[in-house]
Amino acid sequence: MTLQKPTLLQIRNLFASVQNRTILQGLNLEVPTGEVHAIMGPNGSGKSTLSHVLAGRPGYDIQGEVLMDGQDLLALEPEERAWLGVFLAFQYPVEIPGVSNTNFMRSAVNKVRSERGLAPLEAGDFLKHLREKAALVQLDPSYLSRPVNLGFSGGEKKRNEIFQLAMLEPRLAILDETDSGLDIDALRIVAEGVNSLRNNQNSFLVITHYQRLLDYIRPDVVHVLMDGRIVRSGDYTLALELESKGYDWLRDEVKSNA
Amino acid sequence: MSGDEFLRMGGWPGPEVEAWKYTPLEPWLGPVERVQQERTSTVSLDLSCRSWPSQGLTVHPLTSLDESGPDAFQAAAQALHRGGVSIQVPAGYQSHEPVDLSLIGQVGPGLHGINDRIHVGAGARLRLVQEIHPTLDGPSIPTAKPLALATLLNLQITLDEGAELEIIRWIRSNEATGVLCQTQIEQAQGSQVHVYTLAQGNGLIRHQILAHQEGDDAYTGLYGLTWATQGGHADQYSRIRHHALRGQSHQHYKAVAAPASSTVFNGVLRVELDAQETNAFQKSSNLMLDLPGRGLPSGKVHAKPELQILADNVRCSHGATMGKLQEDAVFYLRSRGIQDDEARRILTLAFAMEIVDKVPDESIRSRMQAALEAMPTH
Repeated sequence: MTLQKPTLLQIRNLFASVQNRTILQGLNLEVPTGEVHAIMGPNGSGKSTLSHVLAGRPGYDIQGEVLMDGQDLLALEPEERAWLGVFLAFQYPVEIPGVSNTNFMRSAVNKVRSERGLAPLEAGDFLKHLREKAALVQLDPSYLSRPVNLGFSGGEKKRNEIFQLAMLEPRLAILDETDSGLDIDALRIVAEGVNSLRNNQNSFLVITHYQRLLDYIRPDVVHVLMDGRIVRSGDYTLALELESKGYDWLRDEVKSNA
Repeated sequence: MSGDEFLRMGGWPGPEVEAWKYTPLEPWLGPVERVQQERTSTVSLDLSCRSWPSQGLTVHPLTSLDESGPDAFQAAAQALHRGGVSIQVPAGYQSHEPVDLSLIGQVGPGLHGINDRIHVGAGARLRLVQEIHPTLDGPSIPTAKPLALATLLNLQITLDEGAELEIIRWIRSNEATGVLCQTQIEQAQGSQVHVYTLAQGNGLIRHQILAHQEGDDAYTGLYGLTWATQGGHADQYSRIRHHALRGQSHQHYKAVAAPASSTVFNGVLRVELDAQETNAFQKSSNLMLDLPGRGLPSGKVHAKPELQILADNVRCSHGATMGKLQEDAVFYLRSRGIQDDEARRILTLAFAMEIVDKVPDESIRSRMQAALEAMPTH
């Protein structure tokens, strides 16, 4: 007999619009603790909007319910969500001139720790932690003293996102098209970093266009997002099917069922 | 023409004068007749915090002024003369110890002029440090104009061939006080001047650099951060005149304007007909802060680059940016658990520290950093 895993994230009938354009249209999704769920979907289906809404980016009109551990996520500020354990790996990481990666992470890690009831890391422990996590994604240590993302290549920016993920130890990590702009080697390094962070206490929401990433980060469940709604869920073979057949057949099926 | 004759005839420069367009002086300093009334004031300035190396320099109190001030500012500073020195730096001089011409502490109400001169001999190297933070000795009425206390600092510098001068200047103004500081620099062949300025406060600041490259292969580097807080007005004016071959100049001024404050960058770059192969760069970056919920108008920024290029074989470039904090960057920091106000503080300080990081004296730099970290950003 297998025990039912507790639900970490529960999304019910979520609508999100920006400038009067409705992008998420009644989305439902449930992610149990300790699972990796992939969200695939064609361009414009709402994948990035979902990640932004979960992380709390301002500017959306939102209706519906998002619960994390039973807490109303939508009522929280972005930083409060981070304290609770939400982490978004950005599709387009922002460059922050004048703020070094190390200082950025020191501020973030110690704030998050204090909100989670943990003491700040001693300077030596922090640096050790920093170096370990940088090594995890093969981020050259020289990047730690450089301004956040400034002048980083596309691949380095994505590695830096996973590095931050490792530093902040979230319970729900959302990877927004982390594979875009990565060559095969970088993709493997990033995926190995993610895999080493997987455990039975955290969950991943991996948003991607392509099945390729899922060869490296094997999901428990694959969801297809289309026109702002999850239209199909299945196991890894659904990703393979989409890769070989595209999305149109699914669109047709959904239409005929409706 | 003597200083007071000049003032009688011309008065304070008003908004019709390009150099003073955003900082007409009469509302701040009162009618020009005030100079006449206060020129015989018996208020003395405490200049005891000034110091210089005990050996090698020739230093005299500056008592006789030629009063042939070519502009209203110098004329006024000379008419209001309360002290100052003339420093001769011999050729080849070098010292680790800086010349310190600071003005810190309480000063009685009124308009006061300080006039200094520095002559740096051929091949000599000198560092000048100036912390200028006069505070009003007496009751202050925050919003009252004209200002109860204004200090006019008039510094005239001559750099001989190959001389090198670094100036580190930290100006702070409080409510009801004004600091007006003009530095005029004449540069001979191969001379270099580097000026680093932090100007902050909620009073009036006018910081003005007039550099004139008379000799070939001279270099002028100007870096400054201006940070005006609520009620303050801070005006950075520079005029670099390239008048010889292969001159170089590099300017980067940044400004932070808090709500209900204003900043000015007004930079004239003039390349005379015979100043061929000049290489000049000028940049002005400006940040307007919003402090939500305070009901104050957003900070106001004026940026006015002015390039006058008469020579045909030169490289001159300039740029000005202005804006508010990037909300994308604020969100990025917040998504990592950093609170909104802290995110804004980090980003504002990062903007400001780019300039302060260049200050070549570690002790002053770290005190400047501490002062900026204490500035209200949210």
